[in-house]
Amino acid sequence: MADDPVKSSDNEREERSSTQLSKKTLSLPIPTEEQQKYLMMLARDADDGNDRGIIVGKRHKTG
Amino acid sequence: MPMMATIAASSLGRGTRQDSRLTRTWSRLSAPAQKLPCTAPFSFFFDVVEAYWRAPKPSNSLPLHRICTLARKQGVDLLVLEDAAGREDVALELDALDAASGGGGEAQAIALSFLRDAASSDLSALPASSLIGQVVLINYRERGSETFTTTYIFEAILRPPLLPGSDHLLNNYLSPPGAFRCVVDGVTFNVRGFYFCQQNEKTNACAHACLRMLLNQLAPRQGVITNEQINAQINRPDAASGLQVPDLVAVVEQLGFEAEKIPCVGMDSQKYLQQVASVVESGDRALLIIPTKKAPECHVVAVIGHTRNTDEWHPEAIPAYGHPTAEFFASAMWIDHLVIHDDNLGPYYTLASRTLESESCLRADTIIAIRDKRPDVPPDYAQNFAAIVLRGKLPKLDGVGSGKWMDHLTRNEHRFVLRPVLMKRAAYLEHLASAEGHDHTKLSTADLERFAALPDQFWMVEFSLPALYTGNRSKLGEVLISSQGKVGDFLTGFHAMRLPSLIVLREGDLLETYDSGLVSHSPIFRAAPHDNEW
Repeated sequence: MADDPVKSSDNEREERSSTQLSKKTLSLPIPTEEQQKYLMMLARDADDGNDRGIIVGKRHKTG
Repeated sequence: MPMMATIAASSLGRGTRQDSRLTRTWSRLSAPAQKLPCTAPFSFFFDVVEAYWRAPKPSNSLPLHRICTLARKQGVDLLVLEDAAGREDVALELDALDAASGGGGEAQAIALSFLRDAASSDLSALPASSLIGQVVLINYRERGSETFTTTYIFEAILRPPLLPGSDHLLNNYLSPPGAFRCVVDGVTFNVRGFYFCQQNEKTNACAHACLRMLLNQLAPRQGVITNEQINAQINRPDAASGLQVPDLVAVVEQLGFEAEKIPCVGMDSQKYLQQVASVVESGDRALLIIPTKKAPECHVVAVIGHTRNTDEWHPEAIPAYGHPTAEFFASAMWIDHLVIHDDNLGPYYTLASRTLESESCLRADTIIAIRDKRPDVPPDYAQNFAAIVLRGKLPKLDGVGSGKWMDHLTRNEHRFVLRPVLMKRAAYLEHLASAEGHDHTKLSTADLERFAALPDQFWMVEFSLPALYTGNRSKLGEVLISSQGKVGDFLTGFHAMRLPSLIVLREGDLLETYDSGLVSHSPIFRAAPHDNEW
């Protein structure tokens, strides 16, 4: 993964109020393009058993 | 010779179905009705398995041996034998077995109840915890056969194994047990335990057994499921000898659950271990399908929990010596075993997770998780997304929030332990409401209300540091990632994040921070918590 994981944003700001010790607004965490590719790779299915027609249990026994 | 006392055959508590579409053509053979003290020199090997497992080899008596072994380890001192053929569910099972065998057979059904601290007591005075388990054994012989042709465990209700004086085995984490009612010699025992059964190789296979083990464990919404119901639903002539993956999914979903199918062939074993770890750490169960030498025939076992070894060396050694660029520690690396029921070998076995990585004959083919609601987003995706969020946002929160843990998190680089748990909103709020920090701080009602807008279900990715995770079994917070919807929708994938002293919420297209009362690390989520852990 890349070292810079999140895009920076101009709309981040910090303020202080009487009810909050401190309050900050941040941009949404959007992964970089490289990270998005990696995440999408994680979500990709492996070979699907449906296609291979496996049979769970047929004549399988011990002893 | 053991002392024996004869008891009257009684109607046992389980079995509720009344209808039968098959004509009863089998004859009932008498079964023993005895109370057997079973401390030494009583031999389960000879006095139980040899005596009552009537079909000769290759009939597979290993599951009964395993149950006797577990009972012995738990201090069994009384075995009660009763005739169980009068139970309606047992009779229906025998109807189907007899029909598949040509009709006109003979059958015996024996209930074996294993008790401890019971040898010198009246059964009605015993606590429910005295019942280690109850097994219904079926012996059947086809018409004209001089010997029994089929013996198997039709059903067993077994409480989780434990040592006398403790309520859980050390570092064992099982999915929440089911509530079962067992009757022993007319006395009802309400057991919190697990369901086990064995294939009979005539009307059902391991697939049926595992479906029954998991679905009957979950207090199904449409009653106890039987082998015949499974075969009727699949409605294919060869269903009795094996089911296909879509069949397993269909049976699970017919009962109102959702099946999350995880194809594993071609997948790195570490990846599917992380997936199954996430299933059991979320308190759910899974069917683990493994290939056999007779491809495409497979075997399946029921995964009901895991063990965790917080002294494992490799989770920290691998990044230290092998892969220094690893972004985080996957919590699954500390899961050293899956707890499984194997209908061919018996209940409550522990399958070393490294075996799935190193033994080519035991690699997973497919995992089917049984969920209330199937996630669209896989756990490792959520885990990596959380890593990205933490790495990107923590430095920007320096000076926001308070306390030494918040300062430590925001001012240093960390390799976190990340643990994805599929979570319902209500369960999350309950978890947070009960959370107490190491410094005894807690979240306030107002803090909890900030999470009211969360969706019904999401990935809760807990983050911790190795020393906290293994020493305190605690975490520093959670990153909440969407579990539903389109994978790769990065604009809506993040919901919220909780840190020491701080809550970060997505509000529209921005994140807003709010102070919170819990400023230290707090216990990780446990689906079925207990204190016997190291």
